[in-house]
Amino acid sequence: MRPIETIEVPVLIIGGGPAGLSAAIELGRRGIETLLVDDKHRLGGKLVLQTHRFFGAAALVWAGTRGIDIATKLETELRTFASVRIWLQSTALAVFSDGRVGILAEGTRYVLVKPRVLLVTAGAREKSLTFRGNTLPGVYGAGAFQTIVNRDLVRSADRLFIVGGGNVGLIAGYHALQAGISVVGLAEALPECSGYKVHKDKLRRFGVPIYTSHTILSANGGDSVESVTIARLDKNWKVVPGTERSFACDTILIAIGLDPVDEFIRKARDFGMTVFAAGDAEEIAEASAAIFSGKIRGLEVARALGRDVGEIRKEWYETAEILKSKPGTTTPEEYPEGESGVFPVLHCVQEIPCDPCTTVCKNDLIHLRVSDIRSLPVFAGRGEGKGCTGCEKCVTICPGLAISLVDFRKDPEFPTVTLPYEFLKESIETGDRVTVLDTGGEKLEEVEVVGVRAIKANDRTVLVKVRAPKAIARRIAGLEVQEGDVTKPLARYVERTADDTIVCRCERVTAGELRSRIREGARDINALKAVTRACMGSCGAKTCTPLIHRIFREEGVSEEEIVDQPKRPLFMEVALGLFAGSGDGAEGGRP
Amino acid sequence: MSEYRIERHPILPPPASETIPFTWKGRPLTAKRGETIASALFAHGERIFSYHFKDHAPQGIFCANGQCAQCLVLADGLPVKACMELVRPGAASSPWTASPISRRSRRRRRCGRSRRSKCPS
Repeated sequence: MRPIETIEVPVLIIGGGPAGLSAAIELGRRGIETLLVDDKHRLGGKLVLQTHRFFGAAALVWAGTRGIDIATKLETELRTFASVRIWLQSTALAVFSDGRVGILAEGTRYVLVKPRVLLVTAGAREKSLTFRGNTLPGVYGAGAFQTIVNRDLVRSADRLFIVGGGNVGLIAGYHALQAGISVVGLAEALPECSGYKVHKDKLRRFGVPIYTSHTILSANGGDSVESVTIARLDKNWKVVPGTERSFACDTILIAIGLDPVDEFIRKARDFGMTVFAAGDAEEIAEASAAIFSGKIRGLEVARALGRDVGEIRKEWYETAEILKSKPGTTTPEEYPEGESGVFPVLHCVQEIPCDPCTTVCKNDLIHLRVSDIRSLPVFAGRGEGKGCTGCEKCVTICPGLAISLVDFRKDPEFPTVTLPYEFLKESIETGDRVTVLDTGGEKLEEVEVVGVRAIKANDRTVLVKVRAPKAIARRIAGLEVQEGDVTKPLARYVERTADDTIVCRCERVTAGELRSRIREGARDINALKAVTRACMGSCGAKTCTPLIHRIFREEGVSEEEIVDQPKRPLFMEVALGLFAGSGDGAEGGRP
Repeated sequence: MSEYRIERHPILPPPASETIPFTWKGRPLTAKRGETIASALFAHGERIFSYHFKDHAPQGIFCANGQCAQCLVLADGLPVKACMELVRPGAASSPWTASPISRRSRRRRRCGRSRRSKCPS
């Protein structure tokens, strides 16, 4: 036995992702003693998985910089502040009624931390989905995929199918292609993808079919995924018989959304602690929004400790909201006039919070239509004054890969079109014949590559130059990278007959079991637990509880009728010996 | 060192080169230093981590984020989440089996006692 130490600290931050890092920087700048804990072995949260340049406002949240590089910038700055202590591999286990937070510190010892202010920036967890075969090895979250592929550089799949057309699913598809993994297709239940159009367009241009108004019926295979079966949905979300199709794949990514990790906040509020939340733990949004809300929350925490941080400007709160905004109106694409000189074509037609292209033009020729980063950018350079020099900076920086450059100067009949390319440089070379596509992925023509430019200043964005007939030059937005064969459906669709739609993964409880108990009248999740063992496994009911609520909804039971199970004081499973002070290596000491 | 490693990526820096040994079901494998057990297993094409004690359904990763516990394995005798636990040099890892039946029967075998008598441990 070893006595358990209590550490008193002005600020405890749970989670070292974009929000937690930004908040800690603000506290560090003011010399406020802060303890930041993160359960992973590296800071940055999900930023370290992001290979693409970020959207948002260039001046505020490093838009135009790759997520992984933003993580490094934030961490480097944070580590300059002596007042901020960082514990990695440190999992927050519980918030107790005496205002202390139980932490498994650095993977080895149990510590109680009593903060004056608690800031929860624990991010989100991926939603699960019920369908036949939903727990077969090979079915996993899009975030899980990004972790193994981009953090650990392990090719976890050969042929991938994605369920969910939000930004997470769309980006996962892009990351797969970058890692040399085939993407068989993406299914989205809604009539349109909810993610950014530029992400969707990018995938379609690279040769990934997107099946909107489609759902997954089953993951098929013996011991692991061998194929996926999807079908069309009608307006009432019912499967249209006869539309079933199966595709060969070894991995199915679930990317249907995120739930905030909010259990710490709820407990802390119940116990009357001074608690703040930022990033996805507060509200699910883009990482750029998390960076900014973390910054604001850092100042609010400092103020709560009695520090004078001055006025936090109202515009900051407005900006925080803007960065969280969902995609707005899409307008039909218009192409610039003229068949001379050089100019960019902005294939950016949906309102999203993003502005890097407006910050890089040395002649200041790209502007937002109105002064709101959600409005569309326009090229204003075809009039008087200094025109476009063809510097390619806008092509390079666009996070959506949605800017091309058309150059008529050498050959007015066959202008050169410059396109951004974020794949291995050696996968394309001068003289290659490539299929070029328009913004939405429609094939235009096969053309010749006349140049490949990979310079350090362009930060791993390769620029590919193709020579194209002037009639199509302006419409070219990308080039095909994935051949069509991999995306073809199987000759016959595969029907999975096993009743293995699992809700509780830990205890292997099926949707059918829970549904029949609910039909018998069960309204109390405690009763469902007692009868079925759902919610009683090692994950602590974190994965299945939202699914059980969903089944209640499907059965016409309102939220008010449902009795929730009590949330236990421990949110993570650990060995009991830990609370008696057992240390590293001791039996029962590790979780 | 394995066909599942991404040796070259258009954006990400090359992986660390230092490797450490560990075993999976007694088979000697290598991991990158600082890598999780889950990623090390995937790097060798091992995507089934265990079979569930209730219905023998194969189990792999789901969240890879320390949240769902589907990827439990045994590492040096202790149950750990493969997606969170880093490979320790020389660690012996094997599929997790939560079944009290199999554990008891293992003990019985070790004790060399009959089915009905109690195991002293």
